[in-house]
Amino acid sequence: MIAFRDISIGTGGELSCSSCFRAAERAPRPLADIVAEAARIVDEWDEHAPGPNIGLVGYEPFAHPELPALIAATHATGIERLRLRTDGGALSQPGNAEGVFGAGVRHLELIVLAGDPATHDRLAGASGLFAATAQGAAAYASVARGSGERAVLTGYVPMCKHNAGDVSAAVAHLASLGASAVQLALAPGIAESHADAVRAALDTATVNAMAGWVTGDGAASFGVYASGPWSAL
Amino acid sequence: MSAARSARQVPILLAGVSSPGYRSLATAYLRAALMSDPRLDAAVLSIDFDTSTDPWWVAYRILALDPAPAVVAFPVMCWTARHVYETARVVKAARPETVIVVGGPEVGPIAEDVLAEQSAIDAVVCGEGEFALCDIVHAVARDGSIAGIAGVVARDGSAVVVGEARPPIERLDDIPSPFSAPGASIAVDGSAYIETYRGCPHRCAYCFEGKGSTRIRSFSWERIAADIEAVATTPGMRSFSFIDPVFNLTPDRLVRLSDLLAPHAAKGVRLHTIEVDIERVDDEAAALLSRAGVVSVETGPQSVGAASLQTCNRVFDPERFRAGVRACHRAGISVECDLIVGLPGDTAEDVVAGFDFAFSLDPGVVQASTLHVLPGTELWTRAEELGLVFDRQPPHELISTPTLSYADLRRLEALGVAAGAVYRARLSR
Repeated sequence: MIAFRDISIGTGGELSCSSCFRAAERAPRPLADIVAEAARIVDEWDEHAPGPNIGLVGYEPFAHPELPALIAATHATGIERLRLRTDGGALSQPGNAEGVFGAGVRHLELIVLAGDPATHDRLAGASGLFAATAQGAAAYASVARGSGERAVLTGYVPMCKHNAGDVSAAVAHLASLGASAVQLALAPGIAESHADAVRAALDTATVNAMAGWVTGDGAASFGVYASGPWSAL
Repeated sequence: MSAARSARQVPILLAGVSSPGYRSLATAYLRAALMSDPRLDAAVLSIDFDTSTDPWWVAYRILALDPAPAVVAFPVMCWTARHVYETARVVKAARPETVIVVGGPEVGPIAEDVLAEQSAIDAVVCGEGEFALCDIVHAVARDGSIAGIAGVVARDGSAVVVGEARPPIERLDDIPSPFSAPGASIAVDGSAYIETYRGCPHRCAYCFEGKGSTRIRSFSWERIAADIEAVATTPGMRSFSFIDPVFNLTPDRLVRLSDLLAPHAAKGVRLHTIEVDIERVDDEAAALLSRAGVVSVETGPQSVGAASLQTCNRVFDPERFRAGVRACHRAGISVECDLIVGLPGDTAEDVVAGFDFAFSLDPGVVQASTLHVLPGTELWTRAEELGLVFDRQPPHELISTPTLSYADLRRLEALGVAAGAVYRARLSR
């Protein structure tokens, strides 16, 4: 489908299961490094292919000290599509949804760990995050609608043994937020140990008219479900 | 005593029900034909509706007309059939004396089935409707039976009478122009269409355009020029289109059309979603299209799967396709690539490969839709042989194929919609 190149904007700071991942050190990546990589991607992009398209991942963007400048500088390299992967909580703060949308973010990828507040917040290690994410998604969608421009909300669900039983609910929750697609990022071994849960989550996506796809270890075993509306190179 | 004075005036309503954003060209043709027929003293009213209007409100508009129409004619497509049938049911119930006639590709090939299932319908026109509808109205005006008219399947009491087949109209110029009839209304919002020929050079198994034949019947160049002049010079006209299935039918034809359209393009009139064989578009053809005012074209590939291409009588050369898209882009023309999900023989991998191919071209628009098995098409006739399971009720959506389950189809639909959304959400460079 549509290719994106993902750029890591830091380490240790992207929302994930707190039981699986203990961030040794959270560190944003310097702005100049990120922009230089973006410029390189743009320079090398096939002029006939859709894009250039860049995803900013690896670190909660709203925790990056230079987020506004980061988005502006990335946009200025000449990209066509900019995707932001975020836990969405900060979008509920006044002005943030307008800010990222106005800066050119048309693709928002929400990280969700479960489908109910208690489980999600426990796995995230952050009380109140589930509710803030929902408010943030609504704020972004409202800004997009008001602008008359097209924007896309998708979901990113890291799947591990701690949330495997909750992933279907997470997908349903993303559907209620207006997501058109959801990526299940499989931790090592999950494809084999929890294949049924993966398939159930993909079916939940389908019945909610969402595209569901899997990435990570063992994704190929799910056949056509390894293909999503976009692919990160 | 003339034929017109020997018959009563017949109020006729042509009810064009279309998908939102579209307007029926068929009603315009029918109106022109009725108003030009010297046998008729017809008071013809055309009203356009779209499917977002509740059928009961469409019926309300019809039943509120004064004088009440003696004949209500509906062109019917697969997308509008349920809406038309519901409207007809209400109108017939409220005013049983109304003669309700339907025509179009959805009903013509299955006329007897339509009459069997839709008790409110009195007659189905099979094939081209211009002269057949005139004959129906003439019969109504004389208080005669509409049964037995050529090209018409009609009720005669409790029986259904199949009129002899009406051959295709040989001289298309004999059909009055829809654009020059008194009181003709030409839309300036992009929903006006011109037709320069009937038929199609292709035999795509899922399509009814060719009516089973690759024979092309063209309007004369004088007529084409007059229609273009009438539409393009409509005050306020900014954009219109052509319904021709292949605009670049031949190189010579493309040159002549470009010559006719160029003066209007120079004044800012644009053409949108012109259907082309993209594999035959080179820089020269793209320049002719651009000169004609074309800003967007619509094309396939519909599928890239070898099995489905063979079954559907289609050819596909990815490199020529890609070259055609690039030629259009160099000429400033956007390309809409169409894909059909569920063609017989396609696997899920084939469908995804089709999506990948179309998006890789960065054409401008990628439009995917699930197969609808349409009456009169080769797929309709061969459905059982090919293992196609589909909804017999319009719009005849596909349910499954031997290689794509119902679940596969739903997943692929969602994938196509999501990919289309990702593609469309972009910043201008």
